[in-house]
Formats: sequence, structure tokens, C-alpha cells
Amino acid sequence: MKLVGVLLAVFGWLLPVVGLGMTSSTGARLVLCIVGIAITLTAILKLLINAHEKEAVWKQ
Amino acid sequence: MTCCTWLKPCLWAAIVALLVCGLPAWAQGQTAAPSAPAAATTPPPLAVDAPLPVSGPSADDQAAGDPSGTKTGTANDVVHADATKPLTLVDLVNQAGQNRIAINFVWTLVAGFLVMFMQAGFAIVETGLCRAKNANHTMMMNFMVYGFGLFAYWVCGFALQMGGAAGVSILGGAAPLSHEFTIHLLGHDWGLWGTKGFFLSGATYDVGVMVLFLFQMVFMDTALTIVTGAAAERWKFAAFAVSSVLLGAVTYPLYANWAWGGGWLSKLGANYGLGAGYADFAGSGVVHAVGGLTALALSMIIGPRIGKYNRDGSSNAMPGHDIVIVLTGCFILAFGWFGFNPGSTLGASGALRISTIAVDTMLAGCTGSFGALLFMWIKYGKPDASMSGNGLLAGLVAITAPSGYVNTMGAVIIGFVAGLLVCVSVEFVDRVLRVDDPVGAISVHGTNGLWGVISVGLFADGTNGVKGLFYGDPTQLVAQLIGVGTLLGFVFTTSYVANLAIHAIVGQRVSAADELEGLDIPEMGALCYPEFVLKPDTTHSGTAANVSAGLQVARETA
Repeated sequence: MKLVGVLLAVFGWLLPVVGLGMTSSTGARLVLCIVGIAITLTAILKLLINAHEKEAVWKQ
Repeated sequence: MTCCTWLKPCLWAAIVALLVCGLPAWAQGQTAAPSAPAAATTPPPLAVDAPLPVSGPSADDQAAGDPSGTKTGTANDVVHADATKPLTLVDLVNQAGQNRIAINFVWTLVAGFLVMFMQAGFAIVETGLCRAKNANHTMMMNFMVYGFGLFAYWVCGFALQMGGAAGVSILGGAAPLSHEFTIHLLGHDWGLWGTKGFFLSGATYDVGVMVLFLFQMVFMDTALTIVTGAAAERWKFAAFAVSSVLLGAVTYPLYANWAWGGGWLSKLGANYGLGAGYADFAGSGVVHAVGGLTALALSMIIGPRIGKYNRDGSSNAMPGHDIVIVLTGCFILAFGWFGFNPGSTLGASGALRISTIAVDTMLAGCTGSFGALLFMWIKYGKPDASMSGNGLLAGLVAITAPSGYVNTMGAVIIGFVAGLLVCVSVEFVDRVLRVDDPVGAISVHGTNGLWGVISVGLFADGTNGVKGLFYGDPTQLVAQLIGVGTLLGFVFTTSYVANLAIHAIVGQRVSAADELEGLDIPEMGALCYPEFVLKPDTTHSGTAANVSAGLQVARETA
């Protein structure tokens, strides 16, 4: 799960970067950025956080 | 014949005489062509090495003293290339250039000294927000991060960050920083890291490069020290040392190169028409978000303090032990921020916007504290001291990126939003994410660092080359969001993977027994407050493991 979270976070980062070469429309680039950031945040704040919460000291 | 009889004829004679003499003269004045000017003579060009006809006060004059200052700072003080010959134009021009660079050197160095002093502010803010039994350990992390970070940066961090940043004309050029490793992808060059300046050796043993190194180093150290607050009260000192060195040697310099060292983020404007490229004037992203996101990664890996959360997931407050030093530390940081933001012009000669930047900084800090104060007062019925301090810091963090590009109204709004945002973020991180952050570093620096980066794309007014959405350029916002994505997707993940590796190899967290005792003795070998008796208090509900130390004032007589 941690590996999936890391890979998804990286994917969310690269999506708008690669998208720069695919479109020159400011609107499209803006959408790609927002989607990419949403993917990265989901990966960090959901997948990775949940993966660590399973091992949390207060759950032992 | 009376006098009146001959007076009348005399008067008439005088009138006639005036007319006879004056009319021709008046006519001549109206109709006479102006006489042709004498042929203009062009002075011969001044030879650059010709002696200039200037001199200062004599030696005897100066020996008589100068109470008014009119005899000090004269032609006598201009350096002659050849001391045996009189002053020439070349000497004068060289002196003007030297003066300009000297002013900028002094400004940048003094600003760097102010930022270095912020280490003291961070140290006492974090220590005050922690419990007394961990005070020595927390202070030592903040104290030694200066040395660890500086050493790592000298070895390789500065080279990776600024090795290709030649062309800093305001500091004389920094020409030895002349190579950036670049790849060609998708039709454009992408600068990734520099390759000149390892150990500040070779050609980078240069006065301009040294100024740049000092200034950039203290910024790097700010990012490193942010992390110590989030992992306080349970971080092994040895693991802290390794983690800090990695952050200062690799992760921070890479992102900083992309933003400030001529790397790909700064070239988004030239390569893809995205405004002026990623713009981060003094480092909301490069410094604060890097520190805050690394703090998030570490806090997730290291886990919360024992007693922070109950079995049902509800959280317990663990108040710090000294609000006095927390708020004093906030003032020290606010003072040091005058070096952080205005200093990022890297000069004063030809950079008079330093005044606007300083005022923007003050205003944002002020409204940041207002935002936090109002939020806490309205929601909880009391103004909270630690959150007010965090609100001030949040405003300062948020204005750091846009400070060179916005007007005072923008600064006020950015700061106020930051003050509200830090309160919301602290609750979100604590209660929803259940990530333990004793000092609020993730919310102050991470959340508001990202807000600062985004606010450039909204509020930049165009007077310093950057224009945001509200002033007619949406493409700048796209560049800023790509920077945000890079912070989240590259910086966070790199820090996460690196610290996970350290955790797997040496372990990041101290033992439960050491944590409950307090880290001062197990990790440092000495209490911060040996004359105070620390006793556990059981005011929190929960299990036997849910113990935290309070502070009881007692004096043991010798």
C-alpha cells in the first residue's frame, strides 16, 4: 500500500508536467494541474496515512 | 517771461528728441536679424587615462579634523589603479562599479546574518511548545541542525542547487557557477542540477560566490529546522542527524535548483509560455513547503507521541511548557524575516523595492496573527497565545513567495487567509489525519507554504515582472500549480522514501521507555531544568500508557 501511494503521488505530479507538451491551452493545463494535485493529495492523505495508521502506537 | 513760459517748449523739445533717437533703436530691435552664433567648437574626447582635474582636501586640511563631514569621502578616497599617477576616468568608473557591488554584498550578507539568527527563534518556539522533559533534546536538534546542514551544503548541496546559476549580475556575476546538468525532453531543455561549487573549491573560491553561498545556506537551514519541530519528543538524535544531512545535501538543493538555480521550473515561462515561470521570491515553496512536507512525511513514519491519541482515535492536548519563549521566539522570527524577504533581492543598489517587500512582510505577519486570534476567540471563546504566534508565522510564511510581487492590499489578504488556514489545518492534521505535530510545523510551513506559492499566481500585480490571475494573467497560476504539484509529488515522496529507508536501517523513533521518561536524559544525558522536579500528571483520560509530564515548581535546597 505504501508503494502504491508513492507511485500514485509521483503520477499525480508528472501528469500536468507531461501535459504541458500535449496541450497549449491554458484552461486544459489548469485542469490537468488540479487533477494531478488531487491525485497526489489522495495518495498522501488517504493511502499513505491509512497505511501508517494500521501500525500506530495508539492502536496497539 | 516766467519759468512756465519756457518750460513748455523744453518739454516738447525733449519729447521730440526721444522720438528722434528712440524710434530707430526700437525699430532696429524689432527687425534686425540675430547675429549668427560663433561657430560651435566640439571639445576633444577625454582620454580615459587622462588625469582628471579634480582633487580632494589637502593633507593639512584633513589633519585639522572634519566635524561636519565635508572633507571625508572625496576624490582622495577614489582608488587609483596606479597610485603614482593622478586620478583618471577609468579609476572613477571602476570605483562606481565596486561601490555598487559592495553595497549589494553588504546588504545580502547582513540579511543572511538576520536569517541565521532565526535559528534561535525556531529553537525557542519549538522548545517552548514541547514538554519540559524534552527541552534539552529539542534545543539540541535546533542547535546542531545548523552545523549538520551547513556541512552537507558545503560538501555538495550548494553545488547541486546553484552550480549553474551564473549571471547573478547584482552580485558581480558569480561567473564560476557555470554548469547546469540538463536533459532534452519534449522539445525543451530541462535543467536538473548544477555541477560547479563542490566544497566551494577551484574557481568557486570567489567573493561573489561566497556571498551567494552564505545567503542560500541560511535559507536551506530554515527548511531543515522546520522538520525538528514536527518530530519532536520522540525522534532519535542520530536519526535526526542523518535525515537532516540528506535533506540539506540532496532533496532541498534539487527543488531549489529547479526554482532558483536556473532549473526547469524557472524556465516554464520561456519554454511553455507560463507567465514568468515558477516564481517564488523568497521561498514559501523552496524553503517552507519543503520543510513542512518533509515534516509531514517524517511524522507519518515516526508515529504520534504516546498518549496523544486514545483507542477511539480522539486526541489529547499536550500543551507546551513555556509560552513566554514561544512568543519571544515568534518575535525573533518576525525580525529575522526582514532578512528573509527583503534580502532576497540580493542587493540594494538597483533594487529599491526592498522597502515595499519589507512592508508587505510586516503586514502579512500582522494580519496572520489577527486571523488566527479571531478564529480561536470566536470558536473557543478565548484568544489562544500559541495559535496567535503560529498565525503570525503562517502569515510570514505565506507572504514569503509573493513578497516581491504584490502590493500592500494583497499582502494583507494573503496574511489574513494564512492565519485562518493555519487554524483549520492544525485541526485537520490533528483530528482527521491523526498525524501528531507538537509545534504545528506541518500547518504553518507546509499548508501555508503551498498557499504562498499559489497566491503568487493570484495576487502578483505586474510591477516586478510577475502578473497573477487577478491582474490578467492566468498562465502564472498554472506555473505556480506545477510548482505545488512538484512539491507534493517529488519533495514529499523523496523525503518519505529517504526517511522510510532510515527508519528501516537504524530506526527513527526512541523506545517507549525513553519517550515516557523524556528524551533529555536517555538521548542527551542531562536535564534541561535540573533544579525542577518533573512529575507525571494523570489529568488525561485513558490507559496506563497515557501519561505525560507536567511541571511542578519545587526547589531542592543544596
